[in-house]
Amino acid sequence: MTLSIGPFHFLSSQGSAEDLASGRERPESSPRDLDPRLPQPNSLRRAGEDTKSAVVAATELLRATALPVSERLGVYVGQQQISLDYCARFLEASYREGPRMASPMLFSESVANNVATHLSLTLGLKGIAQTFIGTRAAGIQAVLAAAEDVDSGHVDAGLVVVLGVASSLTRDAYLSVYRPFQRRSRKDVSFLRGSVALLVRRESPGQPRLLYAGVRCAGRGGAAQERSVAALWTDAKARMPVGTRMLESTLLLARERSEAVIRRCGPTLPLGRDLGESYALDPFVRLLLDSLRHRGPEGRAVLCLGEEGTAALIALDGPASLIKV
Amino acid sequence: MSASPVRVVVTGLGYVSSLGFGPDEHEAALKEGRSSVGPIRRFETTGFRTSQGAQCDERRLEELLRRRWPGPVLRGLDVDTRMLLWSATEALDRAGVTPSSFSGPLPAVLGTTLEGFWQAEQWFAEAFKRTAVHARPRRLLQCMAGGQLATLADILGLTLEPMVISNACATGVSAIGRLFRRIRSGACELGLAGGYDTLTRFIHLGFDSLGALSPGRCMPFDKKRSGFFIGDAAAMLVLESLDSARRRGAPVHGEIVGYGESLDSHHPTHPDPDGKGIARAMTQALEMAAVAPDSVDYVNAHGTATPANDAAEARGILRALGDEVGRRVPVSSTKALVGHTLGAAGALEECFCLLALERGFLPVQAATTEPDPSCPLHLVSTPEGRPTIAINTSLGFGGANGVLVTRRWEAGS
Repeated sequence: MTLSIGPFHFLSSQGSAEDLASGRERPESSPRDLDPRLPQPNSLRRAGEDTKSAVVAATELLRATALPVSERLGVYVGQQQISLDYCARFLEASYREGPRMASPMLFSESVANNVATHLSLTLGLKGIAQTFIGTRAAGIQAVLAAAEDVDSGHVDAGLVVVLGVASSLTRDAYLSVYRPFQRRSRKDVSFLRGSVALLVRRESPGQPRLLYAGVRCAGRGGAAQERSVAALWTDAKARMPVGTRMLESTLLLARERSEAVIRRCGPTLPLGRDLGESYALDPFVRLLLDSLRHRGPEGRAVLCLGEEGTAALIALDGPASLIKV
Repeated sequence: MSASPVRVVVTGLGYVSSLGFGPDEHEAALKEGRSSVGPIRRFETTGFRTSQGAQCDERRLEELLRRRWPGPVLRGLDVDTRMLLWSATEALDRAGVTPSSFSGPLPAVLGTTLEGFWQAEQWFAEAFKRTAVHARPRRLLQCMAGGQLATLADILGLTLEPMVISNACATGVSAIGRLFRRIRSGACELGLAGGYDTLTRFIHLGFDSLGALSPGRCMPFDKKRSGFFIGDAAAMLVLESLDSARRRGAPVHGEIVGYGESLDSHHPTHPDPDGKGIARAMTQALEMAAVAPDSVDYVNAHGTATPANDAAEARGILRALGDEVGRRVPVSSTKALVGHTLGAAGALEECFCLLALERGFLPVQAATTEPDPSCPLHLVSTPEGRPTIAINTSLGFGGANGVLVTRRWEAGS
């Protein structure tokens, strides 16, 4: 069966995809004016900005595409890691003032599937909802899961929501690994915070076909990652038309190491200017910006290197399209 | 999807909990209703409402792993990763799966709610007790599930096609369900699925703050039930198409015949009190399995022993199976024995269902002395029975529900 991917809806702390593509980004801590855009303003008052951004992106995408909410709509959320900032806030009081001072509200917001929960409660979703975590490839895993479920007929459409959760704790952890002597220069690592919502359906006019989505993990370290990339490359190459624009998505702090791995497998397009680290969201940012900057009909693919030895690849047979809000 | 669905069987399983390692060490406890709850030794519990938990035997886990890997391979691995490694290895061994058993990468669907939170917890403890400077930030990265998967791939010498699912307490069932559907549709022939999670201070604190942990015993469906305790576990299963299992001559432990999942869309932490969500997932799973409600012989309930969960789940069971069948089908919650093992729970309970089907017994309902009339279920009091069809239910935060239906395997099936 042929599946289509799109349209996409993108929200970020630095502006819309068009803003970013044309260099008009504005560095802010989170996407603007989320509360008034929620279906029920204040309904997510206890939720974090990342969760609100994901709910707004999904809601506006469904509205723009007039896709009805039913049990035949599956939800697939991808985010790199459980929310460490919420975990920290939840734990802090217990260490400082004793276990009885811990807030149960913060605990429920720290649970990994809390975005799926808020989507379900806000939109009235009652069908499949799954959350994928664990690496930068979590968003591509979510697309893969949606494609499997649409392809096998378990759902008619998959709503995929991918978050770029900005955690200062995670940034410091990466700094300690990749820049052990520069831990104090935290300004070196900026965040692109936001979310993308997209649809995976049976062939949908005007949307590119999803040619490939895959993830591999051959072990730990650079050599294993090279094997993961090579395995994906071989697998995906046969399905991608000649001339596909091959993009790359790497952890900013590990870029040199990752580029060395990628170069040994095949050519990719230069990464371009950094907009900030967005973890699982990053492959989708690359895809959208390239689709806006280069309007040709060529296919687009993103090779995403995760932590440890993981690699993922997503390929479309044309440029990704965005909704107008 | 292929013309007729592919039959999916379980050819290998490996599980560790506070009761022990593998089927032989769990069978007696499931028949006798022997609980493994005890005082928590892993962290300080002063000031908590309860100090009980169910920890696995870490020393024995290390011994078992060292027999296979006597060198430095295990150095630096935390308890999450060790449990995962042991259960995955055991499952693959029992299934007779080696890297030459399949072509391409091995699909691996892992379920976890906390990833390897033990590592993160060490960081938080240092950071809050002293300062962040004293903590080792890389622990926060080591807690990511991707790291555990990479360790697994590294040590086993496999290339994995990984997926990590986190669906609150329905995670284990969701992971198995995803691989089951994949094999059933013909997308792959063989893979590894299951879940793991560890008793940590963070999760104990979380459920303690919600008032969901019992200060006494875990008594599912009892009038005086007051919650559960947290347990360690990892449970991994090798799922395979029947054709592939026959071709390889692999042992078959049972056949998964149905899977259903739903959302309550009711409340972030409470289940729909009418049990409509879990009933929809049960009905979906039974329809996929083409099994009539009156053919169900055993239900391994989620049964967390919280007032809200058990009442909602009981209503869901009656709603899905019908009042008459729902009141007479044997039901038990094995959380009274091993605690709530979170991301592992659904997978571990699936292993218990497979054990009961294969060896012909019913896991008894431990600890419950005065069944709650608002949960009018037939709780298993003796292990006598020879079930053919078992249902495994899981309910999680966010109203996430997952249900598996499993059939006993008989030669010539």
